Amino acid sequence: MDGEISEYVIEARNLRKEYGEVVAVAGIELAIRKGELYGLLGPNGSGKTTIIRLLTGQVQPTAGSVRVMGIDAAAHPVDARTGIGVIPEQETPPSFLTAEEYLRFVGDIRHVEDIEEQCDWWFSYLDFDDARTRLCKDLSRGTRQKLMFAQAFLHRPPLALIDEPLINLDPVMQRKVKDFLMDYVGAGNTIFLSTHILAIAEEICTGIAILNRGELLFTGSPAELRERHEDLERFFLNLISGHTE
Amino acid sequence: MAFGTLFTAMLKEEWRMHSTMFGDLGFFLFPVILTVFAALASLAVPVFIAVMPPGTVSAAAHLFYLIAGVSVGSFGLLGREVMNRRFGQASLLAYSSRSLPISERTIIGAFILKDCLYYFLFWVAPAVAGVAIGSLVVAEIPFTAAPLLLVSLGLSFFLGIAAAFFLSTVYAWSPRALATAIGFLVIAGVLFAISGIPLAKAFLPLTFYTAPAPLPAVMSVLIILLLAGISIAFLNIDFPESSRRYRSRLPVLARTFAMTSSPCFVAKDFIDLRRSDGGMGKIVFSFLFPVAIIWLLLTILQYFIPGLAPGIIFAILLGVFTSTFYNWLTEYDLFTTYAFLPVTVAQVVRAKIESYLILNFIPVLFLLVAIPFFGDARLFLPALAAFAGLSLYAVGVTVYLCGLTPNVMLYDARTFLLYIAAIAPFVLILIFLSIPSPWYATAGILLVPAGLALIRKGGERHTSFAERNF
Repeated sequence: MDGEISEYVIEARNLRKEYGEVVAVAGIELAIRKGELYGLLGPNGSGKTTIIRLLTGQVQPTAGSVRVMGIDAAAHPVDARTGIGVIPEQETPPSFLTAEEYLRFVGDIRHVEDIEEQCDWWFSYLDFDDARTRLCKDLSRGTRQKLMFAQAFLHRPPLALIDEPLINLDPVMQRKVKDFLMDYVGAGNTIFLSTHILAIAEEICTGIAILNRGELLFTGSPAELRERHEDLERFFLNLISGHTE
Repeated sequence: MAFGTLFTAMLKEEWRMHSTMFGDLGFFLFPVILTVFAALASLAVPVFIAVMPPGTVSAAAHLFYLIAGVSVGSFGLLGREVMNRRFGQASLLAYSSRSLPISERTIIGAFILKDCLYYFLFWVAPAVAGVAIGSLVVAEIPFTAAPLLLVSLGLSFFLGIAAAFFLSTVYAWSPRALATAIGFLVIAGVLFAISGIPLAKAFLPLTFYTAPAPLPAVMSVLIILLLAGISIAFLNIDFPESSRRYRSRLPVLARTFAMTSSPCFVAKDFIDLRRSDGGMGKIVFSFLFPVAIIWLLLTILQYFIPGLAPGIIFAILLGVFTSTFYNWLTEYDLFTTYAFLPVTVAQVVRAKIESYLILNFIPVLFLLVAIPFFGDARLFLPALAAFAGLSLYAVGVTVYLCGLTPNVMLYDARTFLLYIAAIAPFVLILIFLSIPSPWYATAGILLVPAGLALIRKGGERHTSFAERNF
């Protein structure tokens, strides 16, 4: 039944995605509890972005099931995307809207009541008020990343799925974003982030999964690894090279 | 990197860009279809020759290829913006001066040459092949026509490409200078029309076709080289980062379009049209040219073919051409821009159709002028019914076949054939219906529900396609 109460905000069972003969995701199992800052790690082309697209109902699975906030994302993709925030890996905001117009545009789609205040807060918090009246196509990559970050949290979603959130940001802004993510999770929300930067996962994630060639090789937590005196980078490299060989 | 290596790589890039979108066979079939169409059109040449003033068919063909050259040249530069969103700037060789030791002049030179050769093979040669086939069975087409056309249509086409590159260079230096140049061309065109000088004397590729001699061909080549040479010599590419600022228009426009299902999407469409290169004027002008040609042809034809209701035929064809507004509306975004938000392709399509319906006031204004011009203002109602039916039906067919990417999908041979097959019968039926009485064209209104059904089905179809293949 859709919308049923579950202890997990994300549940993927035997989730598989094929594009012709290419297996992008090879039947994975994921169960993520509320309040986690969960990191999906993997080398380039390992299937991280496809998993985010599957979890957000942007693409239909070849097999298996996926529930997000209790909603079957394959059967009801729009409903699934309504209650969550998403930062896609590559997508950029529309070329001919200004940064402020884009936030208002997303605010309208997501029915954000206090859009004026939200815009002011985000332009100020991420320090890009200067971009407010400039067209999205004229923004630098870093500023576009800030804009995409703001749009994902505009409606204060209980779950956000974010693909490489720190890419193109300077160290000061990276710190700010990491602090924001930790505070957001501290307030009872959940973050699912995909990255190939291991240091981020080690620093802020409460749970991690390591993916290679569409297969989940490990699920656990950085704390668990620390208890085993494992360094995440060495552990990751051993795991990936062992799997690749 | 040697010029030859760059040129060959650009040719491969152009082919792969198209074949990635349609498949090798899908894109390869496009020139084959063009040959078939040209061969079929050749069969109708005796009819055209009988009803039209001499030289009209060849003049129209040469002007068509001049315009085709301008549009290929324009797309080569402006359309890169569209391709960039699909493939990324770094993937195009035209941007390799950023990362490789190649000058922009070398690149633009190879680029112009590549566009000329590639599109000559895809646009000009197949059509001439069709005429060559036609000349085997149609006595009115001499055997010498095909080789002559290969040269003269090719020159028209290259002249169009060179002119587009020249104007783009002028624009790069100063948009005001471009406006002046276009103004000068318009004035020259008007003066030429008034002067009564035959087109075959003034338009050199056509001069070569009508009276084959080396001079007009050599002169044409010199003009093409001059325009291309100036474009390269005065090239000004600095990849500028615009610092222009804009007042927020979205909330105001969204309130204006509050009666639509998605005011923000409709507002965004109008902002895209307004702020992209050429502003709203590009829609009017891109539409003006084919409409002016139809108007002119009908003005002539009504004296040669008795029983035609030119106002009604104008309305029918206007309906079909109006559907190209949808191509403009879908040019500035891809669904991937929205895929992570709680919207479907069907919702975006619906908003685009609402924007389309608003834009339909432009052709209705044309209709208001055209119907009295063609002789009987009382025929406005059947003309409006035929226009509305065709406009909605043709856009419905476009949505059903192409979803949100008509600018890309209509180059697929199969899709293009289906598009023609779905629209042409209704155009012909309405034209034939209007011959016994122009009022019968009112039946065109019956195409409105068909168009609406196609839009709904098309939205669902492309939503499901996006979810399977994104």
